[in-house]
Amino acid sequence: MADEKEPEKKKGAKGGVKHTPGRGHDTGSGPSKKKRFRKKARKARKEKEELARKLWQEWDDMSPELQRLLGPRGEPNVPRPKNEN
Amino acid sequence: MKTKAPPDRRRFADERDQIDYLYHKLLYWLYEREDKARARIFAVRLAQLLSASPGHDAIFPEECRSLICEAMDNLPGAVKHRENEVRLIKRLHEISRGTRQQDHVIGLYGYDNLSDRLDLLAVLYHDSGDLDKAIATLLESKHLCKKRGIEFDGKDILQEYLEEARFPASGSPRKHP
Repeated sequence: MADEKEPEKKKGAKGGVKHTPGRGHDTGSGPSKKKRFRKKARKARKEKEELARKLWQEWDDMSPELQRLLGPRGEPNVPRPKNEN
Repeated sequence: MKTKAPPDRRRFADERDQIDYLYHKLLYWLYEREDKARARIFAVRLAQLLSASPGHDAIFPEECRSLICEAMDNLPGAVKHRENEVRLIKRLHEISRGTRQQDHVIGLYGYDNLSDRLDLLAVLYHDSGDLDKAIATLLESKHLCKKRGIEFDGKDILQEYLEEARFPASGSPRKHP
């Protein structure tokens, strides 16, 4: 049968979504991981704040003359903690 | 080999950051490259910032003013401000001695810094034609280094000035270290 045409070849990318294990649902370790990261970030933030507080305390304990001689360049190079009492 | 210039910047966190940047640029062009024309560009900018910023009677602005005067070929001004800087560092050491902040203060302005500033002051005295004061200042720096157990960087300058004092005809104004 000479008239019979061959079916057109499919074009474009083959198949669907690539197989990735775990796709379509959250991992079981997700919430605990988030918790862990949050804890770690909180700890780092606290340490940074403590250091800033210590440096600014040292600066505040200096006599006015010492502060005047050192000038703004002698001030700690970190922002003053906001909730300082 | 020449060291690289501090990288160019156009954005600064704050005024202090910009002053620091201009100070290092000025130091580089004035002392490392000995190019006063380039140094002047930064000196003018630094002078404008310093006049508008607080803390006029602190040590660092005095050092900046001395450098600015030096770049502008104003030797008497450079000497005056460098003398002020040395006086203020000595005062800082005096009032911080025995206090809790002594270590912090020495970390910012140590005896090596004081010796370095004395050497620079001596060079300025020499360039202004006051050889006796230059030698006396270098000897003070040497004594300080010996007392504090640090290395004296001005050995060769002192040697040169002493020879110049011995044979005045051979003396010529010296370039900066």
